Amino acid sequence: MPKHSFPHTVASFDQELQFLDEMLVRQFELVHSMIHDSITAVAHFNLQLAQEVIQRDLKVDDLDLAIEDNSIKILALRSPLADDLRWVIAIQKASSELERMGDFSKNISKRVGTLALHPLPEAAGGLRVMGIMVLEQLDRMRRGWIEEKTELAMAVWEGDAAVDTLYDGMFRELLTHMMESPRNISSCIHLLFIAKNLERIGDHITNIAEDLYYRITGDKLTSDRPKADKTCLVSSHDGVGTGVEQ
Amino acid sequence: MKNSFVLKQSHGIPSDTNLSSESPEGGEETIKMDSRDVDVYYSGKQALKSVSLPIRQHRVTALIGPSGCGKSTYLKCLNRMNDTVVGCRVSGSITLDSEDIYGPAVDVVQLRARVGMVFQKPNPFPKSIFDNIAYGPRIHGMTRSHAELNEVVESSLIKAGLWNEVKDRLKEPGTSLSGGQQQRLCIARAIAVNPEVVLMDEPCSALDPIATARIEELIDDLSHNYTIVIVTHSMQQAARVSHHTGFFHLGELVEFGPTEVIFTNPKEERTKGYVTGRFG
Repeated sequence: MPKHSFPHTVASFDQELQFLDEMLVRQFELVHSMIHDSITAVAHFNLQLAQEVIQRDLKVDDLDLAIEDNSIKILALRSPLADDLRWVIAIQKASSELERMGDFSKNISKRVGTLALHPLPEAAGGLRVMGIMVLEQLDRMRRGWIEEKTELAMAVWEGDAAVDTLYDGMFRELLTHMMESPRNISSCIHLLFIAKNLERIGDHITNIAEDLYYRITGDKLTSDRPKADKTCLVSSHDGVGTGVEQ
Repeated sequence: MKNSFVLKQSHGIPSDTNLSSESPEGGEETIKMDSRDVDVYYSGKQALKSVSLPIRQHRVTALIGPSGCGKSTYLKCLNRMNDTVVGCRVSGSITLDSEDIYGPAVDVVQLRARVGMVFQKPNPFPKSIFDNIAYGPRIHGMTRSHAELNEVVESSLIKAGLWNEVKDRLKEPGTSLSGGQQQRLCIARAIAVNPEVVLMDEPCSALDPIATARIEELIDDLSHNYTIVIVTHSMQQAARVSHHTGFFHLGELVEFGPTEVIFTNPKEERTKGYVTGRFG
């Protein structure tokens, strides 16, 4: 709840805001576990764990709907203003980001069965590193949210470039495996999608960092976000292609 | 409506997408009334403490704050209504078009014609609808013929959005109208003497939501030609109708700024506490 010297005169308003925040923190925890378990399932070809992740996504979706319903109710019935207004808007936006992150984890898990048919263990190592980095970013974000710290939001915002760099490396590595043998292509394509999903999760965490920054300060993080995804420039012919950089 | 929804080019929307309404020429820049270090004492007790506040021409300025914070006291200073309060002393400077309204040469009756007022409770005179509107122009000698007076009455009622409802019953008493109509009658009466500034002291607090919406729409229309200062207890109303908002507390102007800033990102803790409903 926004930090103030006094509670709301209407105590139930405080409770409603608190409830909204608790749901979001629960969503953070669920998505964290989904990303963690989906990477583990990929690394160990664990179909059962992958299935659990897919099931868990329903809970994340339910929480997103509940947060949306409750936010609309607060907007309609309480007409929140100033930091209360920013609080509700930021929670609603962050919840949508987490919901998308849940979808990406589900997508990662769905590929476990296919990957098990044509294992490519030498390429999966990079994914684990990327997964760990994304989980660290998410954990920093969750702490920033709970402790209402702009420093942590900024750290997350700036930290995304490292995730992009790892994705860039994965892209090149998988391209090399595909060039080595066409039999690797199927697995590499799936691994590439997984890497892309993790990279996108990183972007969504960064969006939450922007939501938190706005929630606390009322200002927007407007300067260009640090980006290091150069894969649009990479080609199998000579390593560097003619793609148009963002 | 007021220009709160301004699309910026930097948001990726083409600059020729003109979704914002026109702002009156020079309205944002010109200061119609300016107050500097205004102190007000009622029988020695200080009710306003060093209030400095610019009121921009053809803009709506809202004053908010808890009861007894001084917002109505300040409003009454703007057309010297406090002169009639025994034991009231005003110091500091308040100007209208850069002229001191408390200067020795100022004719208070003329000042109140230039700075009109609408009160919380509709207070039509116990006269016909026509005479309620005609009263001001008559005492100020603004019209030379009955036809001219008719014209002023009609145009004032049209501006106040009441003409179509009362044009066939102008001889009926003003008090026969509904509460919302009476308030619009009072607004028509205020603008009949062609004021430059209209002060409104909680003009909707005695009205139902529909009548309130009509007054708010009227405030928006009137702001193209008049400078409006409104005191309101409803923060939503201040947010809906005003361009600038001042928050008063314990006789001080705590914060003043663009309305959207006051309601989304106020800088002062006291403003934050008040607008979010946390006043301790």
